[in-house]
Amino acid sequence: MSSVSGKPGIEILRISVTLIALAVVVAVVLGAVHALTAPVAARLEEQRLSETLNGLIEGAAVIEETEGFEPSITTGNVQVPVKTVYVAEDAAGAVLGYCVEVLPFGYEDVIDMIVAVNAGGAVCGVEIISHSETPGSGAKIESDEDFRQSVYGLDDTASAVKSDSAGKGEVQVISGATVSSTAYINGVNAAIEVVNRLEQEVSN
Amino acid sequence: MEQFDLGTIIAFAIGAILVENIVLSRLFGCGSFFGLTRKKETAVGMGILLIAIMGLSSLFTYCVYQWVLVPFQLEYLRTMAFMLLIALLVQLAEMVIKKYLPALYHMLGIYLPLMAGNCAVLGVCLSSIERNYNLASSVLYAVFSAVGFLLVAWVFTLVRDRIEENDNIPKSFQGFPITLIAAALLAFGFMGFSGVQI
Amino acid sequence: MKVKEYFKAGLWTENPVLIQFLGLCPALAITTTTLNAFTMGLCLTLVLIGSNVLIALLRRLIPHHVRIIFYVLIISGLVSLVEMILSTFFNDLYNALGIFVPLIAANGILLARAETFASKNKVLPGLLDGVAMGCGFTIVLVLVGLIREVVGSGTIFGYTLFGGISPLSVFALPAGGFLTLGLLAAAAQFFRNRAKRGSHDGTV
Repeated sequence: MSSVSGKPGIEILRISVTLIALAVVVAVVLGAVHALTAPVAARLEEQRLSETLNGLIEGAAVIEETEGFEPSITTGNVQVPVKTVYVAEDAAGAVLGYCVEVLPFGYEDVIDMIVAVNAGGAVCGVEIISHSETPGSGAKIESDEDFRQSVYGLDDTASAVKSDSAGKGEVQVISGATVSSTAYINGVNAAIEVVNRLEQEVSN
Repeated sequence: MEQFDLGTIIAFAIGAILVENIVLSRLFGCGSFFGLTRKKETAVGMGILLIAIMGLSSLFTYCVYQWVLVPFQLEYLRTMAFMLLIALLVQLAEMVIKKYLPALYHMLGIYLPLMAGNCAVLGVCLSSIERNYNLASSVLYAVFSAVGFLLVAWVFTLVRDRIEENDNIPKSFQGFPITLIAAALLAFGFMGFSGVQI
Repeated sequence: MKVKEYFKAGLWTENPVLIQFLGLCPALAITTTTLNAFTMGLCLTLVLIGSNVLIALLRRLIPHHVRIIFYVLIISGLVSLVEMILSTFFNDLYNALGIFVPLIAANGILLARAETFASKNKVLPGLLDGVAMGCGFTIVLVLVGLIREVVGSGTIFGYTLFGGISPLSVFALPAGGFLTLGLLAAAAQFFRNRAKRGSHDGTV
């Protein structure tokens, strides 16, 4: 298979041509598959999102993205990035609530969660989209229903505590999963703050 | 990372080296970790080489991603593009080392080209994209991660020396198994850094 | 070689993880649950089969000096394909495996089999080798995943056992990954030593 011609220039040319030809073929195949799968993926993604949002704020006629929110909120000495804010309105156009997607940093990586805050400024639902927390400990923020719902009804910044008797404005962390729980609570706090600021702007 | 004062950089470094150590926490680069930690010189040599390769690949992959893939909406080609870049870099590094540092070349043997098949480099480059790091953060993250690798690789050679001297290891555990368990203990130790948020 | 010999090599005598020490990254990182471990094993096997077959097909066209680049091109192209299909149709699994899906492109097994086997054999042997090595990889991963999930998280395939208590949470952490693989490797070595002793006793 090795060429017998002595000129290294021809050899390099042959190699380059083969390499580029293969690269082009691969890129074209990938491009074709992408063109086929991207629309499907987008449609499924939208479906999932709409199901989640409608599940969080019931009875909403319209849920739309909105702008004018801060890209990150500082709470508890930590910066929580805010990815998207959706406004949920009923058929009459009155605001039912907001869904805020925040990305607090947990134990391993970012936790993607959507916090639903009703028009009164109180948390009415939380949905965790994705996380990389440790199964068996940190991942309990998703599986432990009691913990997940312990933030429901909060309308102001809450602090994470370890004690059993959590008072008003305090949320007990999952034992053995302090970092993940704190991240979760930070996410909720950030969402509450975002909604408060949005409502302030509206009333101004 | 928005501000670039020394404090933030140090915090970032501690995060990448200790809290989120590339081998013991993120579990990247295990192949090289176990393959090249028999002798101190090999481990250190590879660690330093990795710093250079990580720095360069993060630089190039970031540029290619932001300036070529994203504008043309070809993000789905990132795996291919990154792997090719890294393979090319490793090939170049191999040629340079062969010429200027032949001793190191002989020590690293087959593991140098295998660094192209190393989770660490690709993993770090992909992570930077996923976390939306800017150019400086990406390069610093890559370099600090490699420093973290160097640190644990060097420590692990010391551990492995002790294992070599030990005559009491059961036959079933000799070699690879006990090395893995030693790594487990080291990982356990590093867990003490976890959750540190600066 | 007969089919049985391929599988004996791939699963036991030349097991890619326990004997060749390849593919350790996913074996340690993605084995926190059995489902993740199995999915990763399946994906790698598919890519391995594809890459072995393609490289065996194209082996006469690939220039020897720069063959690694060609292998990388083919392997990463296949991984991108798997990425797209997984992210579109199996989004939950894709999110669970996270960054380790594209990282399959950096898996040592693919490059090693390309270099040692596929580039020197015909298509059918390449295919069989891919299946056998892939199975060997998957079995190790699934065993590690099973142990880590049951002992570390107290679940199996997501179903809670032990009433929600995690027996030894450390198994779900990176340290536990090293530990489980180490124990598995020791067990394998035990059986191998016994087999060797047996064959030695047979010949006097």
